[in-house]
Amino acid sequence: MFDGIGTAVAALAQPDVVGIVLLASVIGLVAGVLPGLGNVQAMAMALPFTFGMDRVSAIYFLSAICASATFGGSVPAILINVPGTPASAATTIEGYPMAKRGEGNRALAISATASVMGGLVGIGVLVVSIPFVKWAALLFGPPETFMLVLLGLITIAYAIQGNIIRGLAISGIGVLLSLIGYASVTGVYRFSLGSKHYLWDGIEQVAFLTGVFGLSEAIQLGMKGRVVAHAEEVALGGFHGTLQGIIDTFRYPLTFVRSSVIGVIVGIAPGVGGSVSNVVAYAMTAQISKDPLIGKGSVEGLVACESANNATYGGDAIPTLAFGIPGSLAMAILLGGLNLHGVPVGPWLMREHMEIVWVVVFGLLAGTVVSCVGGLLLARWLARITLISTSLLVPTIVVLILTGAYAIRQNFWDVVVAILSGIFGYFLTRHGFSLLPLIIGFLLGAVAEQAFIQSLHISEGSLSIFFSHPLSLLLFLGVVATGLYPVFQRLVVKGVL
Amino acid sequence: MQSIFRRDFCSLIAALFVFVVGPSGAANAQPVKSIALPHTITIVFPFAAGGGGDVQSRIVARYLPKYLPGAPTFIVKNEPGAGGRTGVQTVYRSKADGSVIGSTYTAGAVGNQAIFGDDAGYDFAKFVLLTSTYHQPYTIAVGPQTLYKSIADLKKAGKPIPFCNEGGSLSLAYIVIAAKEMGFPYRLIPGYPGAPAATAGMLRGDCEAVSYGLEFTNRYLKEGVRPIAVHGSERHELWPNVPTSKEQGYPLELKIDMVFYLPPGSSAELAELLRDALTKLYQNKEFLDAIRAAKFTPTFAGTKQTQRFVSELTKLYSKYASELREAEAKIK
Repeated sequence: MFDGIGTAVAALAQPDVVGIVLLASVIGLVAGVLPGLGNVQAMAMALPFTFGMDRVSAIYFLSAICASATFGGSVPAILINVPGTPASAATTIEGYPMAKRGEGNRALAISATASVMGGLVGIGVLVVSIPFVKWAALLFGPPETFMLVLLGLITIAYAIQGNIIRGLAISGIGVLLSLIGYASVTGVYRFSLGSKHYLWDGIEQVAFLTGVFGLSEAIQLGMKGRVVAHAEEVALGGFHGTLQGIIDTFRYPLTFVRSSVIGVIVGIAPGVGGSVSNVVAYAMTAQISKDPLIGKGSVEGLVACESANNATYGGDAIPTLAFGIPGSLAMAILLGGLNLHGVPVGPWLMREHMEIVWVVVFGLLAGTVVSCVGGLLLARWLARITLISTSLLVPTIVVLILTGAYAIRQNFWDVVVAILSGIFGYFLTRHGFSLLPLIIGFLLGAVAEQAFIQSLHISEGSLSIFFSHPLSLLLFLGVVATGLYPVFQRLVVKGVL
Repeated sequence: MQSIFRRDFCSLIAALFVFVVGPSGAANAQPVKSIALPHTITIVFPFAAGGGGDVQSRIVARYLPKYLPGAPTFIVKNEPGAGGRTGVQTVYRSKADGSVIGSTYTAGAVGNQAIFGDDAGYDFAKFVLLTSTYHQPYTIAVGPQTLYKSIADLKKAGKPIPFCNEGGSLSLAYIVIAAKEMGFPYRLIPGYPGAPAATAGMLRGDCEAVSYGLEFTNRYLKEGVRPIAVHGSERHELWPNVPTSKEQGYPLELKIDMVFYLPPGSSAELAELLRDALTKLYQNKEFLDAIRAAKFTPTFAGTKQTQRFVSELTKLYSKYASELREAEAKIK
């Protein structure tokens, strides 16, 4: 298990590799901060630049970019309510209200600390699971994935919205939107409005997400015509706020552990990643937390989101390293990078190149730590973004979002989608709907459909497949418990139970 | 005053946006003079990053520039979607000015056209073919839980053999053709996002068999994957103990390769320039070592041979067109 660990550690002690990791972390951080960019785009762009590097340096470079973008994505999520990456969607719910209260630097410090801690848990699980990593990688088949997604949807619909009917209705709209385009299992082409090309693969995710969150917030800010926070409040935060944020993170050990475990499990499941773990961990915390500030800038809620999305990398890496099945798009690019540098992926990797496995592990770890330490050092200055006047901030947000939407595929229709999504998001917010159930329905709808149909293909149409697999059954019981929880709660309040 | 400032600022931002976004569209509209190559050439690969074809495209992108005038910069763009059709359509609609080259699995691209007809969104015959690589026979392999040792065992199973696959394109087509030729019943478990995921599905017990290229399947033998047939004319050096389909009584040759091609209407001069560069590239030791280091066998076929592969595939698919459409309809 520890074969090759010396090679990986010795390489990381070299000044040039340290420099490469620092550079990669900055690249990842910047890509994460910019809406529309994320670790996938940054890694794809950086790949050709690794040609001149030796194999180990190149893999350190790519792994560090991969891990550092997530914290970067939380910076605009907290300060201007625009998730830099989909993995920071839920962060906006608690981070932005804190920024509005003048606690932007405290929120950034919580985010950075929870990210490091979550990343450590994820990587710790990956390391511990190395001896039985193949078993772990095969844990989630189609029925287990379907039940996990169902559990996520129902938890979020209730926990975020507070009213399960409204929550399910809005996440149902998200699910419907996710079904647009080509269905990968059945090959059917749906709800495409006659478009033969643009809607083939459905609505572009980044354009939709940044539009719903960012543009809708820009519209609100523009209408109110003010700053996000007030100078005196931000000044009060100062360095004390940063320190307070670090301490805050350790006040919720149970939340942190629970969210990190959710992050790892979601990471192992195919087709779902940081964007889902961030929301699921938050939703679960929102459901059981007694913090009156939940939904209004709660520290505990923020700890949950930020530890989960970083822990996901450890889970993502399990099927990636064990079988060559990329746990996420970023892991797919990492696999491509390994191959390009002469490292065969698939089961061979752990049999013949354990040193590379350790390089990936330490690269992910280093990227997380460096980006978050950088975040802590810069938090008090970054928080001043919230003092910028809306007359400057709103156009800047609009340009960043529209450019980001365009940059993904260089398609002007994506810009149109971002604008329409922004208007839609604004409309929903004004009428008291939470945006998260919509987003999670959108992200998970197609995954749920695919897993459901695949399960029925395996069982030749019998629904018993969902109850005959132990893990699937366990998750189903979780679905039932979550669905009945509000009824149970009401009965307790009425004194019936 | 403030409103003037706001208006000016918004105009500035709008101009900045047009400036940032505009150039790529404008660059695409530039006319090409003679066969001068653009500074940047994009290789469009229609599947996600990380797979065998993607990696080989990227290695080509790394080493090919030095064989071309002006050493243009190569970018590999993954355009996955619709079972590989999206990326191929992009190349089909691209300008024939040398700024875009396609790379894809020939059998998948031709197969999609056979299955989906006009809905495939391209006519593969109109592409300008360059060269091909990554040639290997297709195989049938079974999971560790099964007792099948040969094609005859599949026929004797007394039930349809479940195959994990992506749900369209090549993996579906070659299962359908093999089943028809060999006479074993089958059913498809579609929806796996790639060959590694489908193979893991088989190891988990979602299905009993998979059908993929030999080099890919070879990676999973130690995990319990058992090959029972190679769809080639003779035994492969990697698997000397695995009988061919022909040896088992079914003279079936199903192979895959990856083709480099240009958009319809590309000039003969441009095609010749790139063919010549690719031919030289596949003689470069450093490049071939890079392919081998990634555990792929560097094969090469020139234009005529590649055209022959495409024409053989077209004939093969037209022979089984009704079976392929029926199989596709069944999973809907």
